[in-house]
Amino acid sequence: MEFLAAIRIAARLELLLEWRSRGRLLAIFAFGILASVIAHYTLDPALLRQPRNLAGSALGTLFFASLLLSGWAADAQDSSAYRLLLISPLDPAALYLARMFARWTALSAICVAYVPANAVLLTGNFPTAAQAFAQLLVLLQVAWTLAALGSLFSAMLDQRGRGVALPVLILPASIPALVLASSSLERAFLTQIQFTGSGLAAMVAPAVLYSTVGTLLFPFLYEDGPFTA
Amino acid sequence: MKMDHLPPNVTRRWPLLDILLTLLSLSVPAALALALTYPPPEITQGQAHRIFYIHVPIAWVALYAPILSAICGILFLLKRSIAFDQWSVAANRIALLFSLGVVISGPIWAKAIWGVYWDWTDERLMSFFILLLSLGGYFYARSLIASPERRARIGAILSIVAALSAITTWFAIRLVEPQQHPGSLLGAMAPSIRLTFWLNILAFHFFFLALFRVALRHEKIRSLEKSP
Repeated sequence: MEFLAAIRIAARLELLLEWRSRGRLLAIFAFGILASVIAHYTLDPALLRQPRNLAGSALGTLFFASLLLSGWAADAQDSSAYRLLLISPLDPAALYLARMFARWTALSAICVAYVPANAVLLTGNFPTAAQAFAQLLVLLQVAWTLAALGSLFSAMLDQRGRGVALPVLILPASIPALVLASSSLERAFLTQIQFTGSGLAAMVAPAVLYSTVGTLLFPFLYEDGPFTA
Repeated sequence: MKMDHLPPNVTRRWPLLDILLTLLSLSVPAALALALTYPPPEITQGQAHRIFYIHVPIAWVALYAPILSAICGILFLLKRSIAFDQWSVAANRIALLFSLGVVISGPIWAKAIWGVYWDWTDERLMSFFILLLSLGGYFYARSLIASPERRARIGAILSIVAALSAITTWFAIRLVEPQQHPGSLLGAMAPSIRLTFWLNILAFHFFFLALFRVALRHEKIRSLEKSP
């Protein structure tokens, strides 16, 4: 129960930090829209209507949004607000889970706004409720994986290294989730998706795996003490 | 390089390394010569099958090395002994080299058999590609961290994530795409092919062990040179 209370306290603070910088979420949304507009004018519209390209556009935007969020979250880590959290008696694992939850919430907000806007810009029509629900379900599990990885990796690097090292670290680790999501998202655009138990389990598996690994390993990032020869 | 300032336990000759280097210098050329000349051309693949005498052994080694590195990373986090970090880095150096070998030798065979150098739906090729990218990120991230203690901790975490990423990529592509990569043929090889294959496996394991010892020694010397 104490651990859950710690997660709740840290998540509230993380969400407040996220809310304080909500203007950045708008900037990411604008980036997604811009990417869709560029795709509309630079790719063959006939190809663009292929669901696979729509899925690629959505996953690409989500991936870059997660990179930006992770970089900003790490900048917030250097601020005095986050240092207060680190010197508090809260369990670092709870801090990690709270940070991951806050990143996931921010990415989810972007997805909710982006899914209909992307469909309108690329196909000319709003998605049906079933299409939008299916797309969101797939995107939210990818957002979970990206939030889990971003929260772990961004805490490892200083400000100088984040710009280049974050994409280099997050991309290979997120490939399994992106691969699993690509075909599901493609089917979601066609409203052909069938969410079977095993299919959902496979999609959620990378997110569960990386969240668990992150929860176990994050405390080591904030441990002090020399090693032995 | 002048190494008078280093302790004798680092600069002295390592008999095991000498033995491994001798075995390597004899076995690898012999095994490769055998691979090129001894087995007859395979019925379906012709001469292209000879790439497997190099590709499969280096792929096996490229799989051990990151797993060894991840295990050493876990041991470092638990025991905090710098020796485990040195083992972990040395193993990842070898993993990087051999993964590069896999993603070079694989496409050479693929071009001959599939008609293309790269197939994004092949789970094994992609797993090694992801491993290669993860290892690139591992060494880059390490190079950005000045504190040896923090570098070792972060290196340990990254080596665990790199091994996991490669394994989950394999499963993810396997789930999404039908299998194209040739499966295991260990039980169905002709005697000449089997002999050549296992000799190459043995030779490349000597290669791995010798390189690993060299990389480990290099890490020990580097850590001593950096320490005040």
